[in-house]
Amino acid sequence: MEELSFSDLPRIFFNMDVMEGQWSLLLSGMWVTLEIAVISIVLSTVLGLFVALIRIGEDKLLNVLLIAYLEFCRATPIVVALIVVYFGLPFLNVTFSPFASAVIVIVFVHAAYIGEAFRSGILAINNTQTEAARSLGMTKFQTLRYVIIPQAFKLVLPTLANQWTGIIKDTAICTILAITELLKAAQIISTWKANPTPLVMSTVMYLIILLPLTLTTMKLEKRRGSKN
Amino acid sequence: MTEQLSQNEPLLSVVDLVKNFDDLCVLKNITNEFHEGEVVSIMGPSGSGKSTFIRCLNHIEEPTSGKIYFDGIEVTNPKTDLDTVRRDMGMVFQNFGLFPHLTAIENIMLAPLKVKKQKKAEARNFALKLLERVGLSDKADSYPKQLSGGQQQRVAIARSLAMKPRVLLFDEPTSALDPEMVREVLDVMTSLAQEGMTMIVVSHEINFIREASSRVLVLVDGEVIEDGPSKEVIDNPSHPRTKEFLGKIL
Amino acid sequence: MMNTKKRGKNKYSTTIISSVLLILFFIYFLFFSNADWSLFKEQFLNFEKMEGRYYIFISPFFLVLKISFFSCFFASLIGLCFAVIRNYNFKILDMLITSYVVLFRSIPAMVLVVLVYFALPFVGLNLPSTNSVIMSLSLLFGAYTTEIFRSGINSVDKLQIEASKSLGMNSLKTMRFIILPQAMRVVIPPLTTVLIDVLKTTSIAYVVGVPELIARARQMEGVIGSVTPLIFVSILYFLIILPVVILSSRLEKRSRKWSKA
Repeated sequence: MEELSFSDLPRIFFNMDVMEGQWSLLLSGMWVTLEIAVISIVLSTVLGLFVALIRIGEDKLLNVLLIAYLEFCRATPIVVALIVVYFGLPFLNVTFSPFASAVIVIVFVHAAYIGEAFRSGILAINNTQTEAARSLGMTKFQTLRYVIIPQAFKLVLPTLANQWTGIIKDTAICTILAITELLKAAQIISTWKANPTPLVMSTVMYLIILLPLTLTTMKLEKRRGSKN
Repeated sequence: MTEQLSQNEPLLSVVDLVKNFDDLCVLKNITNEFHEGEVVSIMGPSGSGKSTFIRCLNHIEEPTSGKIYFDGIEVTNPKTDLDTVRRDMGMVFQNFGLFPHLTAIENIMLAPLKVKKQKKAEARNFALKLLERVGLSDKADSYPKQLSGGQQQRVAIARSLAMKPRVLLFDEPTSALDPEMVREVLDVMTSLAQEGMTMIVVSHEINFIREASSRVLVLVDGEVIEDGPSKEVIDNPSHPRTKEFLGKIL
Repeated sequence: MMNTKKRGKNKYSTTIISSVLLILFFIYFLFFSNADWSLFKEQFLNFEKMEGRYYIFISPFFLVLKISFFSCFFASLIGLCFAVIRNYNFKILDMLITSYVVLFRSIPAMVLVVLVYFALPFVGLNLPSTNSVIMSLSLLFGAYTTEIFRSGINSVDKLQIEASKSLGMNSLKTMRFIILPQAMRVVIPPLTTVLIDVLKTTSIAYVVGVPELIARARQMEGVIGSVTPLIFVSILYFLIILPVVILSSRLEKRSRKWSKA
């Protein structure tokens, strides 16, 4: 390769000629990424809340099962889980579409983490409040719904935002499946045009989605830190 | 039952109440009755089981054995819907237990709105009246953190009153307060007593007990060692343990 | 908790609902997903076919450990340096480091790994794939360790710094002998969490052709016609990561006790 000077960098990394006519593929990739992300965020948050509610329910067997589930998720890389679900299950005649595999794996893993976050949030709320609510004749469900969860949610928000960021980041791992999400789209164009600009552009798009979330998370973390 | 002669049935009665924590026996066969309009104080040295006793009454603590009847309903029966029973038994806690994410008035309105399904305007009007009654009209929109301990406790009392309970249970309502705030809470309690509210109060505030309450139970090691009119018990205790205990706190 | 023995009609409602849902899910999976479970042992746990092939996983196993070790090492180095620099409050450096942290907390690991691997050759930098992965992971996790070390340094009482200065120690010595030793104790539990994440993230290296565990498993999968190698690799990952998970939660518990005391 010939000597490169600093002035060559824009031609290599920000070559808009390369991008001509390719934006639509990149944008449709981004759309797929957002779809996976939003569906996974909603499902894993709901499931996580559910996991937390079961865990504070003090049923021994379910608790043991859910702890095993959590430890399993902590110790399994998402790549491995994705490959097992997408490439492995068809050996049992169970076939999920790449999109479904992505959502299933991401939700499964992140629900465990989100559940743990909610649980610690719920446990952080002192017991007198539960007693006070129950002494007013509120049911267990009403106590959770109106007293515990609103506070737990606020407490957990930084952790939750962090998990959501993690979910969006993990969608990029789905590039190993046969699905044209943002990163895959960029790779396709990059290979075809023999230029890294599409990859750089996809990185910028990821940043456009993720930077605001990261900044919010950091602000929330700081606020929580200063409160303690 | 000893008081078969009394014309009206007791509002709340306790029969052979026992509470064990693991091997520790905290309450030993307590039997007693509380009538409508009565203000009963419970005192005793720390660890004597007073808090456990009052927490058993609305079943926030589950008794090991024994029966509790409230207005003819057996609270201790597993088939009883506790949530319905608890609506009629207000409770005020040592640590207030206000919900920190809600303002004072929202704290008061929550249960009427969600449990009694009252209309918002109705609940709000009543909540404002209650706040006025505890002298905190101007604090309706303050959050618990912005209130002093005494103010928080007064909001907690108003919150219990919002459900129009037939009996109010107080679990050491002033012991977490700075001395200068005790007065304002006791004033509210005294005026409630004068209005005929049925109250059961765990407290060591001798003046309140003498002025406002009609009867005193002295609880030592899980047993009621003395039960009689407040003034009599305080001025002329018969049991040596009561004398000893009163000597310490007076 | 109140009402430890639940009672009345609410007795086991949550438990029942959730158990029913769990069971329904399994029933669905067992019977209605057309899964052919008779194939399960043959396809997923067919360790006979793997006999004599386990040696193939030895070098990738150590490769995963190597990538994790170096990534963690460089990430901690970055974190420590940046945190110490930030402690001195130079405005411009502060801004630069903060932007680094925000930027690298926002880039998905997969994107960075692919970008570094595919883009750098265009400027004449031909890193071996393993090194490009180590570089990406170090940069990514450096953002997290910077914050970890910073909060560790901040956790040290200001009074001690003033005290050590009054003893005539310069700020470098104060950092070296007073602040860092104490910060270490605060820093180690969250660092083990980073270690777990690094270990898991190394699996991404598979995408850029690093001959690590998953790549090998997928090759073998083609040869023997069974997913068993993949299952074997996930067990391996599990065995590598689980001790760190246990260590991490233990350290966290201890540090919580420590901070309470």
